[in-house]
Amino acid sequence: MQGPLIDTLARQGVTRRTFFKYCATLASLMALPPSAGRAMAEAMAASPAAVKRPSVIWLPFQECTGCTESITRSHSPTIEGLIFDAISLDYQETLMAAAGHQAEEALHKAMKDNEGKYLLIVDGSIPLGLDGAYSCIAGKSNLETLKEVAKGAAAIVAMGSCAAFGGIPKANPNPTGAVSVSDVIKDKPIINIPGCPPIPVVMTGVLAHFLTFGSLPEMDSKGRPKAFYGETIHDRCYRRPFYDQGKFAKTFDDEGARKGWCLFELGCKGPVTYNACATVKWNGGTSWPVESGHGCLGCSEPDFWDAGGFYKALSMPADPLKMVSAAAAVGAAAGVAVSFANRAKKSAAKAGHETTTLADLEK
Amino acid sequence: MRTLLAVCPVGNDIVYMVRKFREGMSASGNAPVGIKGAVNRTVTIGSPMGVKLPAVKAQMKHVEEDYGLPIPMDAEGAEYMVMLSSMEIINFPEYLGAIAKIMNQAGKTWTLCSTAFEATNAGMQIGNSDLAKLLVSRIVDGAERLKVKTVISPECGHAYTALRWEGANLIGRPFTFQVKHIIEVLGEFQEQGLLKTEGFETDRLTFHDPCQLARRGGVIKQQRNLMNQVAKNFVEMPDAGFMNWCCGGGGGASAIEEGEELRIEAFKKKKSQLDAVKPDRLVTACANCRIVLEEGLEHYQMDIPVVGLTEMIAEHIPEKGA
Amino acid sequence: MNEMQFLTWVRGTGLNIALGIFLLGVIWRLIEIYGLGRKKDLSAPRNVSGASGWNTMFRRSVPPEGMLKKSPVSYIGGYIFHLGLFVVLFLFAPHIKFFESLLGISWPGLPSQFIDLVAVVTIAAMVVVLVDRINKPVKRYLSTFEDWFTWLVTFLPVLTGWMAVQHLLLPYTTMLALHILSVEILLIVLPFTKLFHAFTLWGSRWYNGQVNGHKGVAV
Ligand code: SF4
Ligand code: SF4
Repeated sequence: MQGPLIDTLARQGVTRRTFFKYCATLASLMALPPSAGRAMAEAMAASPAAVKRPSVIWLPFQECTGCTESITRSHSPTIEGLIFDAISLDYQETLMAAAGHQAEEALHKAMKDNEGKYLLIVDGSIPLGLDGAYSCIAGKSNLETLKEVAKGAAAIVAMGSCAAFGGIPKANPNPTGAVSVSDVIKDKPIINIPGCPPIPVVMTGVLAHFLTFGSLPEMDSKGRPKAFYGETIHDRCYRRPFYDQGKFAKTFDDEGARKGWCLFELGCKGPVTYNACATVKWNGGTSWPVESGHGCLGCSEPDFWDAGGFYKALSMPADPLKMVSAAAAVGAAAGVAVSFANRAKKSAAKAGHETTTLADLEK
Repeated sequence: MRTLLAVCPVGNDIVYMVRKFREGMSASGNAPVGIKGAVNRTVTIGSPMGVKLPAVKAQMKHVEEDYGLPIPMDAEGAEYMVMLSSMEIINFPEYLGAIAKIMNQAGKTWTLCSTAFEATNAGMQIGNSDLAKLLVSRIVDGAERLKVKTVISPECGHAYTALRWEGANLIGRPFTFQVKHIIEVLGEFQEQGLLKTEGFETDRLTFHDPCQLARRGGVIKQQRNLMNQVAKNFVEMPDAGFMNWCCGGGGGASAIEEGEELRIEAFKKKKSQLDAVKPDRLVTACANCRIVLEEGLEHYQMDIPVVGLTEMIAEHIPEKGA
Repeated sequence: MNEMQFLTWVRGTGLNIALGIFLLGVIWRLIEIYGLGRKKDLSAPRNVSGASGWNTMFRRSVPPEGMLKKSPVSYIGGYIFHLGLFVVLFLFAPHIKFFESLLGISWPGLPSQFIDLVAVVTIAAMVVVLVDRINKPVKRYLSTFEDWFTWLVTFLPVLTGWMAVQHLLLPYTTMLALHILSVEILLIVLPFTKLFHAFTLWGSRWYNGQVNGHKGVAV
């Protein structure tokens, strides 16, 4: 098998073998049969002359570019990054050389040329407040742009928690009225790849699947690829034995923390977070948040920002219990009041008591 | 009720709850007819079974003749004032004779009271504290008039409870005299060596603990010591003592006709206890239990006579001068 | 509302409301009950050692002679599920964390596998006790809506908690939220039903023992 991708890889010092292995791993990560790995490799490496590379339009909305960074800016060239060679990335503000009108032109050209076939990737949430004025590109609100571009898309990838669930822009009190892609677009297949940022390989996996099979992989109820979001962080966490033994770090630098004990009490949201960090890890398998000593923030879950505080154990109250002391006071007052009423009733009954006589028995 | 009172892990006081309920039921005219009649007779005539003073006097004469011992009435300053239950006056006259013998042997002064001979308290049975108070006051007045030291409750469970535990609370002040069950008095005599008996019962005997005496009254050891003084072959039935099972007539079930089915059903428990020890005779210390037990034994065709403990003791007291 | 919002709601607003009602109810009822007071008993006491309120408070935790054999299901089943509830509630690490956040004190917990086992046993015991209540004519006759209802609200937290940990039926997040919700229902219901015995138990035992101790009866 030959092709420009393989050539590029070779120039980067990545052998063909490594590339195949990577595809096989990707397939197995996605719980696909080994043959799918080969199919993926072939689809990605196919020469542009033989197969027209699928057009991809990437729209950035209310976002921080963290997602793009996560996937593209690694300390060394990664295969994830290189996958972009397998696609025709026709519009990506951050990465494209063009700007201004040129960029807009490229967008519209791609939309027209690939009508109904292009893949739309969105990162960032869509602000609805002030008619969408909080975030505009080329004089158009994100809302307008999304609707317009989505129309001709074959499928949409909501990249990162903002696009998938509204993310941090949507955090209380959500000043811009941010919503997710799926809140706006109802008539297209949408896949969510949440995470703040999402794991690069998840992104690659989904793209590879789309390239190979022309469809989106199997999803869970939140529209996430099941293959990567099927289990909780907690279920696959290497600190889990400590959790089960009841060994918890109490502070970030105590004995327990040094011994690598479970971070539950320090607010780890691993038990309620579906993501692949614990298995895939970050930065090319170097480490991942819990391994580096910090609890999971739950970034791949909707509203993780407002889920009661990062450093509060999951079983702790999410909000300060404001009502409690008032309730106790009301309870005490009610108790005392009722006691007095009861006593009054009792003495009234005593005072008003008419001695029962035999006649009463026959009433 | 028995079990709940003694075992309820959350500490429910069922007896008290039932009492409150009865209080309302009786005051609103909803008490069972049978008990209403008994209350009426006790208040107007002086005893639930309609026994009047002349009948008591006739009994006294009878017993005096039979036993050759005086039966004092209204003797001021006597140490003990002995109460009777109608049941004893009518069905078990031996009781009075037994008292005479025992007191005589112990050398204690005692008396009956003409204004308060009836110990039972139908007011308490029906659950009405006003009427119960009225009946208790008769006894208190009598005891205080005669300046006795101790009032003896007969072998009658609720009479004992009414007087010993409820009485002072009903009249709203502590008593100036003590209240004791006859079994307690016998127990004291026994301890002080004032109770001398001769001979033994040789048949197989067992003892039924009346609820009001044992579980509700705290008298448990005395009857056993007394039994052993006069019986060679005394066996305890299972669950004897504090946890002994009700005769079947407790809580007023013996006082109403509608209770018969219930009593017979409840008696099965007693039957199983008796079957476990197979006694020749059954001893107890409550006239009410006695009647219910006899009813049950007859129903299940068990040939086990029931006797009162006081009488049985009295039978072993040597004749005067002997 | 998605499941994370649901979870956050039960951990926040829901818990706030439930704990508020719980505290209000408990304090109210305790004051009301003990505020009623008791009349002094005027009858002469019979003093017997071992017969007092304090004695009864402890004695009632042990089945009286013969009772274990008479109703083994009530006693053994009852013991197991009460102790089980205690262990699961107070010795499971996440629960301890919860109490710590409320009361500021914490204590060591037990391994979660052990808690898991206890939970299963507790669930089994509660089911057995329920079946017994259904099967025994007397128990069934004496049971009112409240009995079935209080059983259910006690059972659900154990069941949902265990199912959440085991990842059964629903995603953990949803199950956890349902678990907390069921606990909140229990908290709200507790002060106003017979479940209040969790608080009055000792007082009533003491009172019962005192009344009987006055008569010289060690109940
Ligand atoms: S560190 Fe977090 S994810 Fe890991 S076992 Fe503990 S609670 Fe679970
Ligand atoms: S460990 Fe949790 S918070 Fe951290 S990246 Fe993974 S899913 Fe997000």
